[in-house]
Amino acid sequence: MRLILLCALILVGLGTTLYQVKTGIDERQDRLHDIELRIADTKRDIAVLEAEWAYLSRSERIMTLSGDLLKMTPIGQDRILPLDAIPMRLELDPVSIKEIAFTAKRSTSKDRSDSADQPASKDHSIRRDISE
Amino acid sequence: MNTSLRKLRHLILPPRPDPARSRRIAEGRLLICCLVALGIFISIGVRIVGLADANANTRLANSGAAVTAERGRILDRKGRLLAGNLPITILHADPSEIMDIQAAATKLAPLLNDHDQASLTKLLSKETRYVELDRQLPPKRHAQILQLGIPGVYFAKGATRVYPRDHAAAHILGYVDTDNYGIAGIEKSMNTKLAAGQDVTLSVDLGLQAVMRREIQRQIDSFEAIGGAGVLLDIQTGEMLAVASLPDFNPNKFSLASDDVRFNRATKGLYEMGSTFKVLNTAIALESGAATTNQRFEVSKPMRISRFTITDFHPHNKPLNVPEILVYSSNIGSARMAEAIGAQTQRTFMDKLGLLDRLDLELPETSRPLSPTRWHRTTTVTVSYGHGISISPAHLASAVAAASGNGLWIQPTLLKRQTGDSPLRLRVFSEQTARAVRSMMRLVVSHEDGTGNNAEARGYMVGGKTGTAEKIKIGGYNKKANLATFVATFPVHDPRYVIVILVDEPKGQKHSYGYATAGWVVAPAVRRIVEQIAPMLGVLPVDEKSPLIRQKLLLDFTIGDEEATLASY
Repeated sequence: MRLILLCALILVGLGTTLYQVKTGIDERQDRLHDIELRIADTKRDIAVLEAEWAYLSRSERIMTLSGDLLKMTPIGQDRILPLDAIPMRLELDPVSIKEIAFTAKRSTSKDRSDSADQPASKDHSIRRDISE
Repeated sequence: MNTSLRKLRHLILPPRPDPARSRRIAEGRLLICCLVALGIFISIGVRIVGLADANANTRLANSGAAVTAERGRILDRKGRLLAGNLPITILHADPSEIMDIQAAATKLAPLLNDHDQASLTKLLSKETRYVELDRQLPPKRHAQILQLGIPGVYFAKGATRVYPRDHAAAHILGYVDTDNYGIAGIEKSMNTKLAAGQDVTLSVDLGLQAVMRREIQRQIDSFEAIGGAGVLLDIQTGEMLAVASLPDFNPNKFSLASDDVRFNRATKGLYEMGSTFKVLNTAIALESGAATTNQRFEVSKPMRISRFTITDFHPHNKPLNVPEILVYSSNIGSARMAEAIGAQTQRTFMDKLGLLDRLDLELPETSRPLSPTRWHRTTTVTVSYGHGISISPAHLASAVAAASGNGLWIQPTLLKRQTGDSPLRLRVFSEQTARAVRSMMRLVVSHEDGTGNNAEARGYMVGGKTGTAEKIKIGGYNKKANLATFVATFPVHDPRYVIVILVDEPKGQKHSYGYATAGWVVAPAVRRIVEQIAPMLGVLPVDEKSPLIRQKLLLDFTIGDEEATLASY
């Protein structure tokens, strides 16, 4: 008798769980369905926007607009250079940069200390000069 | 009393079994009852689980069906959209559900573009369950029709094919029918892939395409020509970076375009290309050993072959060498070179260059070249300067790419090559021959007596060849209808690209002093195209006189009286 009761209890428990799982799945499926619909809608919107963007960025239109409004013309060959052909700035090692910066700092900090009450610390101004 | 009752019982009922047996029977019956009850409950339970499961299955199936595969998009080589899909609303009706057809027709007619009341009444009276009322219902109309609340009228979601860039690359893209089935161009040839929802990426670059289209159109307008075509080919990969055919059409409204406009002149049109063939003739002569660069050919007198007389536009009174024949575009000289080459060799090379067969492109619109079935002496001679054989501009581009590039013929394609692709490459010319040919092509443009001076885009090292051919008419040639062609390769010191531009029936203009030759009509377009596309392609202008450039070219040609060093112009 006790066994039967126990079995009945277990069955009731299983039934309840099954019911809850089932409703849970239903709910999740509804949510999934909603999300899928939203994705489809968004995809459709993206397709519309992409088409619109492609339509507005037609090369013919851009060429006309850039010519009429911005007075742009094709770039001449005399204005194109490879990167190597551009002379680069003088390359110096870090020590000499510091020296240049330091001498520069001395001259400027002199002027500054005349006007300012509290001149900036040495290190700080050097760093600033280098960065400038 | 008691005994009489017992007697009576004995009369009706069988005798009482013994208690032990009766208990067994009772227990057996109880067991059967239990089993039956249990069976019923189990079957109910199984059914419940089954129902829950079945429900889920149908739901899953439904959600899957909502996301059907849309037709794949077509993109250019940089991923820009060329063909896509736009969502539309389809309005349809079930006539059997409409109660008052007259009333429904009266209400619907003003909201529909394709129907008036009479045609709508007729449509709704049909003995069918489905009639389509409007394929592309705008959202506003959709709302208005919903407001009417007519039973039996339904809306369905659909997609329509759009080509947002209008005319650009229309001939390559093609178009689809109302069922979204490709019926021309890439839409047709790649239909299976597109219908499966896969995107197709073309080798075409929209920017280059737009420049080429605009410049050809400009020449068509200014020379009152009837049409034009252009091909830009990448020599290294065989990719076609731009393919234009003019006049063109809007694939969104392809049904409005005439057959002539829909005709793809760049891949399907067959033309006698004229003097541009001299590039190939020169390459074949050098490769087959029929001539060396310094060999001279007699050109002073017109040449007679059967019923033909071959003359030169500008007669020369002394023998010309091979570079001179190309630079001055001498027909007689080319004919003499062709005779030295021989019919069989010439035909073999034409075959290797793919000029005798349909071009194996990813387009349904290709043609088989018109070439003579028997290769006579006359054929050999006329083919040398581009007559007697009709090919498409795409054919010419791929052949010249082999002759002026690295000597390899590469299978041309309209699809972007993926890394790891190994296109078909056939060696037709040696690198030495190709180098000599492109050096000579450079002279056609850079030498002051060359026919292609107008194509000189300074710094970009353009080499090329003009071709002005009289068009074929029934029974001969039409002296008034020309076909102006230019084939260019650039930069000649490091060949990357071949351009073929063709203008159909240009008329001489005041600004061209009455000329309608390729040098006047097409060469300036080539110059402008190169000047605009070179920066887009990353080709940097160079100094032609620098030793680095000079050592990449053959320079020891004699043109006219002086030695022509390529760098001296």
